[in-house]
Amino acid sequence: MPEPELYAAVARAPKLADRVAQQLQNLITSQQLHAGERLPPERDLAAMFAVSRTVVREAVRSLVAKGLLEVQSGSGTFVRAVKVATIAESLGLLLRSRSSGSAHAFEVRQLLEVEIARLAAARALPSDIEAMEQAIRELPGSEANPDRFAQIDVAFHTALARATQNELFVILLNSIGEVLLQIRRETVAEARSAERALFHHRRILERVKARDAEGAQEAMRAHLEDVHSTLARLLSREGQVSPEARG
Amino acid sequence: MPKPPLYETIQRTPKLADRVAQQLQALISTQHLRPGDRLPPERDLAERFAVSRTVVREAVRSLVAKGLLEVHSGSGTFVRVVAPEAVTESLRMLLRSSAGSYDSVLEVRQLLEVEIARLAAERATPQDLAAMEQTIVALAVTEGDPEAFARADVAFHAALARATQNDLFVILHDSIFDALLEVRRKGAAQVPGTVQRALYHHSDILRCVRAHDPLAAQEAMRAHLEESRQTMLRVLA
Repeated sequence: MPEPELYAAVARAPKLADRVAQQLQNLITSQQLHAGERLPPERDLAAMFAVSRTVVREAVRSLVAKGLLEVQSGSGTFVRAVKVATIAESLGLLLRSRSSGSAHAFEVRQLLEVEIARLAAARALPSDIEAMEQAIRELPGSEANPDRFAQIDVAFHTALARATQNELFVILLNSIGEVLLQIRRETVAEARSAERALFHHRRILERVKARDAEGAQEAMRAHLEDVHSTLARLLSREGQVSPEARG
Repeated sequence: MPKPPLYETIQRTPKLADRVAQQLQALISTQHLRPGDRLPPERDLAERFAVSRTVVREAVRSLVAKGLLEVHSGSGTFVRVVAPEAVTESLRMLLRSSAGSYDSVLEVRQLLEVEIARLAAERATPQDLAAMEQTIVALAVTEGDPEAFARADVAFHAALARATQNDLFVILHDSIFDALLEVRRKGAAQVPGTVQRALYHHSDILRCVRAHDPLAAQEAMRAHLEESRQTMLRVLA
């Protein structure tokens, strides 16, 4: 055991604006203030918190920077509605500004999807299986339209994530989805890409239906491996590996 | 093979503004436009795309709504720079509002943490090790101060996530952990020995990471999570 320090740091009282920000944040996270709701005017907030308007303004500014509030000029300050799509776009931008963004996204996707396949095999409901079957029926012939192909591909993986009966998996998978969509659009140009996706999706579904958790994991690993190597081949043939796909 | 349907959906031509937005978005995803870059003035964009300024304005507005661009009044339109903290915050709010049970949070946390421990053992830099060490020193003196305990606890796991050298793990981990903070705080306040046990497990994980032993690090993390789950069950009981 290390000896406790003789001179422990003095805990400072947080700044007034930080305390106002914290209170507002608590109201939002505890859902007493809902997404899309308008905040009372600055003057009223100042009166309620018994602080100056400058303090309120500073608190609001820090929550805007955190993405919790948004100021619509003229009409007031609102609690920002958080959508998976918005998070996905932000993550996409963030990863793109990193040198190994897609490698990182792949690493996380692999982890999530293999576990999703395992849990889906244990927990899928008939309605989940139906959703996956539909995504498989719609896939053939879709490669003529890359956006459509990507959509159906995503629909299969989302249905699989739903089958875990754990909403968090759906949210997390979709959050890293924007970067992955980009990859899907790029790979669809590769020959027989839809055919191969179809083969793998069928195999995954078959293992899920058989309640074979290990088999489903294996099938998912093989599918991701295939997508990954297709992408690598595509990029090397173009002769220009985008910096984000390296590493 | 199923027969193709007789009546296929008609592919509509997208609106001009959507096509301009798509092109701009493509420039961003291919990194021809990078976060922080300023877009050319509306007039120039209209000329290059051979569309009206109204069309450009509509396209820009839709990308602002998507969070890809931001308008700084007076100085122009920029590709948005995203701070990891802002993403974490949004994801955290979304996870809270989805109101998953503790079980579903723990299920995801277990998956993330065990993989994080493995990758950290492979990739931790001396700075990462020092950061973890520091949180353990801080944790050692938190008996009787649940607030400080929760802070040091989070700090250890966050430092471990950073040691994967993958931002995504940091973001996902931070957003998930938030849901467990309150129950960790209560654990320290109500269940005797919580601080000592956390201290033991964190030290053990750090030892395995320092030895660059991924399998042992995973095992140590599993043991820690199991112990912390037991504490949690006692708090919630």
